[in-house]
Amino acid sequence: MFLKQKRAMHKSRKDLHHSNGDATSDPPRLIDLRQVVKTYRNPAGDFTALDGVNLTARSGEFVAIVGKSGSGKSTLINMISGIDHPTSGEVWVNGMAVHALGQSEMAKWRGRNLGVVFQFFQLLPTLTVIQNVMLPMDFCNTYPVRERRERAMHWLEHLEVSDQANKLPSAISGGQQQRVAIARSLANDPPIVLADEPTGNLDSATAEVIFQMFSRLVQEGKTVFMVTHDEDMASRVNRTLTVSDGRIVNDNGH
Amino acid sequence: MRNRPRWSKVLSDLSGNKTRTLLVVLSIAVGVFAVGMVADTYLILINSSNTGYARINPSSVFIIVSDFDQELVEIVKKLPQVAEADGRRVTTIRLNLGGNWYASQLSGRDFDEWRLNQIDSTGGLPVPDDRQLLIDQTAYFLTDFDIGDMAIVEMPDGRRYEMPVVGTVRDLNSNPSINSGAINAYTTLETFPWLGEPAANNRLTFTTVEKQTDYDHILDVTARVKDKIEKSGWQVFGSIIFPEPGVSPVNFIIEALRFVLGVMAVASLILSVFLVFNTMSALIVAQVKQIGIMKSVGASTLDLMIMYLVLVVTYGILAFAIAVGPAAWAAYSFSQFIGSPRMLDLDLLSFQNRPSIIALELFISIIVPILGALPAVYSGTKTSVHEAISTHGLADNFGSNALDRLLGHARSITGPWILSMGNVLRNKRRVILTLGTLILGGGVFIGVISVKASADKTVAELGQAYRFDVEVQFPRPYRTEQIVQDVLQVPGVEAAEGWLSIGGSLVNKSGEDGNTMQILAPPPGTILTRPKLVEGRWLLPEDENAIVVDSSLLREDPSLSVGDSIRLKINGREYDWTIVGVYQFLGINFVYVGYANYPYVAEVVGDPGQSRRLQIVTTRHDPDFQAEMAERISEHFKEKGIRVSAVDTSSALKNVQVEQFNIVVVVLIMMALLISLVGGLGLAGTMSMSVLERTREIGVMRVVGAEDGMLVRIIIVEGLLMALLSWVAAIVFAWPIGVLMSRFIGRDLVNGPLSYAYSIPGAVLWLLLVILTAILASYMPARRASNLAVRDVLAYE
Repeated sequence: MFLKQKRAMHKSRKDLHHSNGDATSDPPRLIDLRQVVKTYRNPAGDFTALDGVNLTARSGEFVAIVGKSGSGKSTLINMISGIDHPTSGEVWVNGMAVHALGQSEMAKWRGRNLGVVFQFFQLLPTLTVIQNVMLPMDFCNTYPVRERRERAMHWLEHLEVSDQANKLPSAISGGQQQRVAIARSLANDPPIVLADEPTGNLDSATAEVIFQMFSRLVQEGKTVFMVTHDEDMASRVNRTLTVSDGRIVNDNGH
Repeated sequence: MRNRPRWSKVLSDLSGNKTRTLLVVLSIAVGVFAVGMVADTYLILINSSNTGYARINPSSVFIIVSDFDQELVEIVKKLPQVAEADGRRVTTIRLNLGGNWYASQLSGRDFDEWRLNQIDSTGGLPVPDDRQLLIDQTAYFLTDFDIGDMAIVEMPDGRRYEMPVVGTVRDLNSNPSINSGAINAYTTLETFPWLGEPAANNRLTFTTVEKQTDYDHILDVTARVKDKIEKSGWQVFGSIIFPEPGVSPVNFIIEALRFVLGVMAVASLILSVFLVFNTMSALIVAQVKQIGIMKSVGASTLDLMIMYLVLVVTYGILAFAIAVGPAAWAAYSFSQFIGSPRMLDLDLLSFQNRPSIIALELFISIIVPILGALPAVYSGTKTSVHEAISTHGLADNFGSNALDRLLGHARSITGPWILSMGNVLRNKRRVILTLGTLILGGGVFIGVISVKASADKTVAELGQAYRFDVEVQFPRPYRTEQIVQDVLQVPGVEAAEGWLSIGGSLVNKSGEDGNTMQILAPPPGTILTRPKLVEGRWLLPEDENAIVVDSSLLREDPSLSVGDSIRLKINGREYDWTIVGVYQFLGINFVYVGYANYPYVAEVVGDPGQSRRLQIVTTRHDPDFQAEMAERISEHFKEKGIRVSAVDTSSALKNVQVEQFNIVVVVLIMMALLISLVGGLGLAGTMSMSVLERTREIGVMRVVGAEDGMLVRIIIVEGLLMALLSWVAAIVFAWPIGVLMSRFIGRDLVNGPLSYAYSIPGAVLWLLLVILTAILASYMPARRASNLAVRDVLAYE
C-alpha cells in the first residue's frame, strides 16, 4: 500500500474513533466534511466555490443537494467523490481521508468504495453495455475474472436493462443509458452512490423511474447523495441540503 | 478479453477510427520502411562488394615492368613477404564497339596460369581463344553491344584488327567504365604477336603474406619487389598501389550512398515520431472525457498509460507487418539497380532475409510509436477526473497569452479569416509539431534538391578541366608545330594547343618508389584547362618546378599541403616539385595526375618543342559535332602516318562525371519524394484532427449564420496558413541542411565539398507541394464538417 494511503488510513482510524462519538446507537458516520474550502483560479479571477463547508452523513441516508446554478452543489459532490480536491479542509469518506490521497490511489479507492453517476451518463461509447458495467471490476481487480460477467448481468437485471447487455450505448435510449450508468456505479458493490444531476438529461417519466431506482438502493442499504434541480424529488428524500454561494444554508435532516 | 473490457476498449480504438489507424500506421511504416530499406541496401551492397572482391583473390599493387615471362613471376614468388604473384600484358588501345571508338585497356592473360584478380564470366565463353575478346560488362554504361559483335582494335601503331566479342566478364579489380570512361577488354597472351606486340607480360601483381590491407606494409614490400626485379635484369617503369588495399575500388560510392540513405532514414524516423505524436495527441485530446470516466470508476494513471501504449505498440506491429516486405523488396531492387553492370557491377548476393534487419525494423516499429506517443499519453492520462469531465462549453484558455491577444489587434483582418488565424494558434503544441514536421520535411526536401543543384554546379566546375572540344593523345612525342599545323587543316578545327605528358613515380621520404604520377604540361597561360582548385593557386607563366596536384594525393598523405615539396622519379632521375595548388578530382584515382608548366617539363624530359597531346577547339561544341570531329581528326592523322593512341571529346569526359553523380541523385530524389509524402501525411492528419476537435464549435458557427462554403474556406485557409508558415521557416532551414549534406557527399565522391548551390526551384516546388497538400488535406474534413447537422454537432461530445 502506498505510504500516503497508509498514513491516511492510520489517521482515519484514529480520528474516526473520536468522530463517531456515541457509536452504539447511531449508524456509522460515513461522510465527514470539515471546513472544506474550494477556490478556483482562472484568468477572470479567483472564484470560491465552497466556503468552509461542514457536513456529516450516516449510512443509509438518501440525501438531495439542491441550489441554484453556480451555488457549489456539483463542487460539493466532487469533494466527496474525490473527483476534485479541497483547497483546504478535510474530507473523510468511509474512514478514508480522501483529501490526502494521490490521484492514482484515489482512483482505485473510489472504484471500490464509491459509485459515481453523471448527468450525461458518461458511458464509454465503444464498449457494450455489459462491458461498461464490468469496467470498474476490471480496473479495481475485484472478483475473479470468470465471475465478472455474471455479476454485471445481475446489476443490469436489477436495473431492468439486461436485455440491452450486448448493445452499444448509442443504440439505447437516454433512460436506459442512465440505468446502465447506475449499474456500473454498483459494479463493485460500493456502500455509497453519488449522483450529479442524474435526471437532468431525461424526460420526466424516465426521471421518475431513475429516482425510484435510487430509492430502492437506499432501501437495500446504500447511501445515496444526489444533486438535483428537481424540487419534487428533493422533497421526497429523507434529507435535503440547500447550497448557496458555497455554503450549506439549510439542512433539513439535522 | 471477454471479461477484461479495458482491452476491448483498446481493440475498439484500433478498429473504430480506421482513418486515424491508417494515418498512424502509415506514419510509423514510413520510418520502418526507410530504416529497413537503407540498412538492408547498405548491407547488400557492401557485403556483395566485399564478398565478391575477396573471392577474386585481389591484389592491390601493379608494377609496370619491361617485357617478362613466367620466370620473373616465379622469382618474385620466392620472396618471403610475397604470397602469390601473377603477370599480364596491358596495352592502351582504341576500341570500336557498338559503332563508336573508345579508349580501352587490352589485357592479355595466360588463362591457365591466372591466380590473382580473377574475372567472372557473365555471358558467352568464359575463356577466349586467340584473336577473340572478352569485354568487361561495365562497358554497357558506355555503349550497347552483343556477344558475337565484331570489335575493331586499334593498336598504338595505328593498325587495326577485327576481333569478335565472345563473352562478357565482371572484373571487380578494374576501373569500371562509369569511372574511367574507357572499356576493359581481355584476350590471350598469344594474341599479341598477331597484334604486333610480343606475347610477354608487362604488369606484375602480387599479394603479401601478411598485412594485406596495410598500405605502408605493401609500399615497403613493393619496394623490395621492385628492387628484386631490377636486380634480376628487368626494368621497372612505375607502380600503382590502391589507396585502400583490400577494399573494392567502388566502395567509396557505396559509402557516399550510405550517408545519403542514412540521412533519409533518420529524417523519416524523426518525421515518423512527430507524426505519431501529433496523431496520438489528438487521440488523447478526443478521449479526455473517456479518460476521466475510467478514472472515476477506478483506473489509475498507470492503468491508462499501459492501455494507450499497448494501442500504440499495436499500431507499430501493424506498421511492421506492412513495411517489412516492401522494405526488403525496395532494398533488393535498389541494390540490383546500383549493382547492375551499368553502375557498380557488383556480384550481388542472392535475396535473403536478414534477421538483424528484421530485428531492427521490429525495434523501430515499437520504439518510434512509443517515443512519439509517450509525451501525449503521459500528459493526457495524468489529467484529473475533474478536468477531464468538466468541459461543456466552447470557451478554453485561448487569449491568455500575448500572441493570442495580438490577434485581437489585427483589425484589418476581419470576420472568419481571423478565425482561421486564431484556430491555427489555439492548439500551440499541435501547431508547433505539425509545423516542425513540415519545416523538417521542407528543409530536407529543399536541401536535397539543393544538393542536386550543387552536384550540377560542381560537375560544371569540374568540367572546366576540359575546356577543349577534342583531345588527342600520341604514343610518342611529335613536333608541336607540325601536329598543330596538321590538325588545323581539318575543317571544323578552330584552334589547337600542344601539351606534354610524362609519367613518374613518387619517391617517399625514405627514398622508396611509390605510386605512379602522371604530369600534364600545358603551355603557360593556357585557357583550355582550369581544374577546380580547392587549395592554393593555378600555375603562373613564370612557374618552373611548380605543380598543381589532385586532391586524392593529399587525402592519402594528409601531411602534404600547399608549399610542400614532392619528389618524382622520371626516366630514372629524381626531380623535386613544389605544390602550389590542389584541384578537385571526381571519383577514384588509380594514378595521380598533376599539372606543371610545359617549358620546365619539356626541359626535364628533353622534349622541347614537342607534344604528346593535342587539345583542340572546334567551331561547334555540341557532343555530336565533337564526336564527328574526333573521328575526322583521327582519320586525318592516320592518313598523315601519325600514330594516335587515344581521342576523347570533352562531352564524353564530362558525361562520365555526370553519370557518377547520377546514382546519388537518384537516391536524393527518392528521399525528397519520401519526405514530401510524410509531410503531406502530417498535414492531412493535423487538419482532420483539428476539424474533429472543433465539431461543436463548427455547429455554433452554423447556428449564427456561417454558410457551408464559408466554413470550408475557413478550414482550408487554416491549412494554407500552416503550410505557408512552415514554408517560410523551411526555406531558411534548408540552407544548413543542404550545406552539410553537400559537404559529406562531396567528401566521399569528389574528395572535397561540393560547390553549394541553393535551389530556388526546389523551394518553389516545395511551396506548391505544401499548398496542394494543404488544400487537399483540408478539403475533405471541411466538407464533412459542413455536412453535419447542427443538432448533431451541438450534441457532440
